[in-house]
Amino acid sequence: MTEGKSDVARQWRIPSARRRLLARVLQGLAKLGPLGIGSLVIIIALIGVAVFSALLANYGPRELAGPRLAPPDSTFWMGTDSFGRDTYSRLVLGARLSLYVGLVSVTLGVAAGLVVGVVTGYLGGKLDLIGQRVIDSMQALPSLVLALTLVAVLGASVNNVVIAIAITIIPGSARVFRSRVLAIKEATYVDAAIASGASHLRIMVVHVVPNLMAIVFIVFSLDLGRAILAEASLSFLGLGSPPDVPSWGGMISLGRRYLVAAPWLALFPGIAISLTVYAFNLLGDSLRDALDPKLRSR
Amino acid sequence: MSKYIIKRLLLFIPSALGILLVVFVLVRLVPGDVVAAMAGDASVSEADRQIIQRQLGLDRPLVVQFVVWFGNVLQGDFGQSIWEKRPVVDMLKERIPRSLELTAIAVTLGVVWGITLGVISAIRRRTLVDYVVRVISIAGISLPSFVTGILLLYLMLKLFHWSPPVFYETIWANPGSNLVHQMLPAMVLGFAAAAPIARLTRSSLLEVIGEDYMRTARAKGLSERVVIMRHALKNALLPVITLSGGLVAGLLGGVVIVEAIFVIPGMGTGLIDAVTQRDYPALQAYVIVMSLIYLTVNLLVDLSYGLIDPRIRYG
Repeated sequence: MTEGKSDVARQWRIPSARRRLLARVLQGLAKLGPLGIGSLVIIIALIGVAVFSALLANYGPRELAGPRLAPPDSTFWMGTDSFGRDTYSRLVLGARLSLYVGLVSVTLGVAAGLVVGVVTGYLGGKLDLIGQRVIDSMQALPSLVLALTLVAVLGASVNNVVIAIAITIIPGSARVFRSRVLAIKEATYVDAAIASGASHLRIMVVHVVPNLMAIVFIVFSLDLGRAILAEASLSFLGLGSPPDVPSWGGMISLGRRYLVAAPWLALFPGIAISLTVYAFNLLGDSLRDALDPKLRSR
Repeated sequence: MSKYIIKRLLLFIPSALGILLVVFVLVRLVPGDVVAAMAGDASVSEADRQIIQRQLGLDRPLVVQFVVWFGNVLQGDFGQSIWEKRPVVDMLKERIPRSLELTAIAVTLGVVWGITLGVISAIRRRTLVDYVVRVISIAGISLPSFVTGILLLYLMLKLFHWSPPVFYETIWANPGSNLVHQMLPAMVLGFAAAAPIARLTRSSLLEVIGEDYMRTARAKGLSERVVIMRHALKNALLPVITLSGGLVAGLLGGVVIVEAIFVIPGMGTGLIDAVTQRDYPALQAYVIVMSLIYLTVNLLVDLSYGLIDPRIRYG
């Protein structure tokens, strides 16, 4: 054992900090269950592919590497498209766009939803009433329709797609956070904070937000699946990122025109997007079961 | 009860107003001006520009613009389509029925499939059937509709050499062709909607099955079929109906995708055209109509609670 440990620690078998951390991580993983761990493995692999996509890709995204519509073989692992571009390389490079749009838009959207949910829920009153009506109105717009409208208004670019998807995430997450804040607000530790003279801002930041963190993780994971799906849908409709940026949705859209001649064009990106969304949904579900079983009825 | 209905109907108004306001604000955020979008490539002189702006009322303050626009929308006047050069209302009249037909078939399929699978899964809990149903429903939740849609299109091409007809025929003109054309996209949407319904039906039914009145029903000698159908399902359906109302929002988004795949000239393809052609009056109209459909469905869902479960007393 470590030398720095006192006799008392050794006698009472108090584990070192590093061991405690390891034990907590293992306990956490065990709570996730096999499906949760499986989805986590898929997600980590996906992040790995996105990070090292430049190394993994055999050809450039716009490189006319071979014959048109070549079936999968040892050079073109997933065949080529109607321009002769390598499907495998574009698939690997497309992972980057999916994850980038997903992570950034969900981070922005959930952060904004957290601010709106905590402030309206905690302060209540007229602000809350107006906030609720605005959220109601935004939720009545189907999120894909809202995203489409926003992209139409802002113009099609990767960053505008991020903004559009982030805005569609705000109302749903704000609503979840607000409902939990209403419960936290009644807790005795909030009363204690008020009694000791803490400001509202301090109570929100120090006492309310930390108690929301479990739900923040759950919402984040579930919304990531939705955001990646939304990005793919926009690209599929040809209204997302510019056509020269490789995206899974755009690849499926191109493959749809060659379904009989070259089914692999739509097949591989279709599998990639389904697997990704499935993994994030499953992880969100497992996180919910492990961290907050009460939320299941949502 | 009647007090509740009135209260709920009155709540519809601020929500609808809110949507109109959100849509109005969204479209006014447009960078670049509408006149340039209307003119396309043609150049417009400054004098002409001012005349057109005055005709469109764009020179007036935003609040005035909103009130005028709002008054027009209330009268069913959504303005002229910039692209098709005809009243947007005429386009809506053509396209809304097609999308409503699609949505109606999809909701029916989704509810029937979802509840059937959910009941089977709950009755045969922890058997192979249960696991198969659960795997199918997880797939339904995760598979994007453009993936299932294209898969179905591929199968139809391969097996039956069927591809979506270029010209849409209404159900009155040619019911056969229309129903085949509408049924496939509706199946795609129905599959997506059935998955969450099946999951909720299963868990909701499992909760009810443990109740005392279930034992009583069995004890008085009712057949298992009657026990499940009349006593269990009726009590388990309330959350399922709430969920189905909420699913309509996702379904309307899905309509955009499947209409594009199966070439149905409904509101979804209209919306895509309006976006690509920057046809803002048409865009506004489609978004407003879709949201109002969603609000109306949820209004009906809320009102139906009392009919389904007489225990509910509206406060």
